[in-house]
Amino acid sequence: MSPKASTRVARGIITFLFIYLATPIVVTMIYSFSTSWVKTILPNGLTLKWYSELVASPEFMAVLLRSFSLGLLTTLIAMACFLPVVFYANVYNPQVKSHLRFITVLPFTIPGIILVTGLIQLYAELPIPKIIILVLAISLLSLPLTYQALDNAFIGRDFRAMFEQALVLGDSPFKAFVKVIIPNIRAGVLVAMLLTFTSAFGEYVLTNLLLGGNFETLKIYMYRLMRSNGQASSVLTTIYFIFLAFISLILILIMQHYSAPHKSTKEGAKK
Amino acid sequence: MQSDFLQIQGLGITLSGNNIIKDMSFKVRRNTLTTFLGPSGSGKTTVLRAIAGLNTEVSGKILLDGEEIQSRSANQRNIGMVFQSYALFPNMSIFDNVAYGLRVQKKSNDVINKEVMAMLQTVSLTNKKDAYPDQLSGGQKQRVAIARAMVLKPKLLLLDEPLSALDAKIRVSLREQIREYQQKLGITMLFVTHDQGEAMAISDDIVVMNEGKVQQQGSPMAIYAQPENVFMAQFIGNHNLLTGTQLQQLGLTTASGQSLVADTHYVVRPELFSPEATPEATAIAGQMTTCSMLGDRVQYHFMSDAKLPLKVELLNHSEPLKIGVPLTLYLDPAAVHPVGPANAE
Ligand SMILES: Nc1ncnc2c1ncn2[C@@H]1O[C@H](COP(=O)(O)OP(=O)(O)OP(=O)(O)O)[C@@H](O)[C@H]1O
Ligand SMILES: [Mg+2]
Repeated sequence: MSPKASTRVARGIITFLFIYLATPIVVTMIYSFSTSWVKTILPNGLTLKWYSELVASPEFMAVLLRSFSLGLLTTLIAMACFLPVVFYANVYNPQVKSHLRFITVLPFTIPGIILVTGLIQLYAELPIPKIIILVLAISLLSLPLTYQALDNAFIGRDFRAMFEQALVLGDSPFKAFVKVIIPNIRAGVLVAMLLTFTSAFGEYVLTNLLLGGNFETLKIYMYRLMRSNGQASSVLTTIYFIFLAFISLILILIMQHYSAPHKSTKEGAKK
Repeated sequence: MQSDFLQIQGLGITLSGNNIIKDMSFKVRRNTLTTFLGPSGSGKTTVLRAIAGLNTEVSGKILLDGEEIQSRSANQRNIGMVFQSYALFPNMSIFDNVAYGLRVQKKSNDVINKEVMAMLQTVSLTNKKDAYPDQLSGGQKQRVAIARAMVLKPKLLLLDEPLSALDAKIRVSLREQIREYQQKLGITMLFVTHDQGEAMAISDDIVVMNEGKVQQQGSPMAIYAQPENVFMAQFIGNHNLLTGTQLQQLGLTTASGQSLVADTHYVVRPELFSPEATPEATAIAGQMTTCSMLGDRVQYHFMSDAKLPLKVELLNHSEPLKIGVPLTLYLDPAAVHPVGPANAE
């Protein structure tokens, strides 16, 4: 095959994949704007009615708030638990990293249903609200993702030497952490937070199994709507998709901004 | 006589269960530059970190200016340290990097400004004060790291292979600058390196270590000319290491007619052989087998008629000696030096 022909084939495959993946999204989006769309190739008319209806419904606001708090709480707990561990591993004791890498992939291997059964059996007798169990479980499930993202923040610079240098210059460990570690892992921590937030925001399996109808999150609501009101559910899907696209965009911007060394230094100079 | 400023007494260091340093003792005199020389993995960094307070599992005593400091934390020791990786803070300008320690000490802005600028002047980096570490060359970063440590006027400055990441030319000029700062500012420095040439060039004193032990401490000249054990004889320079029996086979004696001890080791420095006869010298017959050009010197392998190979180095001032042709070399008996104390490992 000539190089030209192989490029054409590659392009063809990519175009096909793109259409295959994008069509459902585009159709869903169009559907969310259409007055009605049955037995015709194109919708009869366009409207924003579904959007205003959904946004106006108290149910929507409630699920949004729940998902949002779930995401926020999980992110805070995950950061509070894992950032010190990753910091310790990178700065005080690099040898533990190989063990950590093993531990952090464990959640991948435990199916949600087993985790939930285990958690319920373990905590059923104790007077702990299920919502707390849920948040802790989701934080745990986010571990592989959060750990990796946080660990990436420590790549590329000798943080151990920087931290020890600050101590030798007379600073306390806490101040050294605030002055020389935090400013240089900011971007990485921000990425880790956004990733953790997004994954907790969209969590379905654990929430549904553990609390189900008692704590309706965006995802659960979305599946319920799908069965009852197609158009409303397509509106929700569209909103959710745009939200994810927005987060991805922010992630890309952060990474671009900080991967160029000059940018990061100029940024520092502005202060 | 200069006093012993830093004293390491019976130092033992354990890292993740391994006893890396056992019962090590040495001294550093005030206002001197002492190098800490040893092969890779011999524990140089480990000892330096212990002195700075960055290793916690340490036994024995560390005395600085008469005070025991081994139980103080790193930020209470008034010791400066320059890391091999420079460890500059990338989020701060060069000025802020150098000012870091003064700010920790809560000095006033005027004082900070004055002292930092004076220090940047010393290391010729005033024009880079607003730059960020990522915009500097390796040699410039190194100078910032040194300035950042020196501006605090530490009692003792530790430098861990500060030049190893730089190319040969800059290494030579920076090591001379470091020596100059040391003498001008009167700082006591402990300088780690695995480069003998570097150690010889700038030190008042050299401490050679291997496998967690001090092998010998002394002036560069003493370290070079009078190795105290077999490790030293093999590690330093390009010495010939021969037993008394082998010297007898070559027809050599030691100076002042001391008798050779059969199983004692002796060193003979390769540059002390001469192709020309002198009244005291012993003649050794044989021939050159290889010849390599080192620039200022020429290095030969000589096979004596007694079938003992010798390393020979001659100044590169005339036609090189012919390979494979019988010739005679001369050696003054004073050049034969016993590897001292007999109990050396
Ligand atoms: N955290 C640690 N845990 C266990 N062993 C260690 C640790 N750090 C260093 N070592 C071991 O201690 C020994 C001395 O290490 P050290 O870094 O002090 O050597 P060095 O003389 O500085 O070598 P180099 O010239 O390569 O820098 C090495 O054998 C090393 O493997
Ligand atoms: Mg080292």
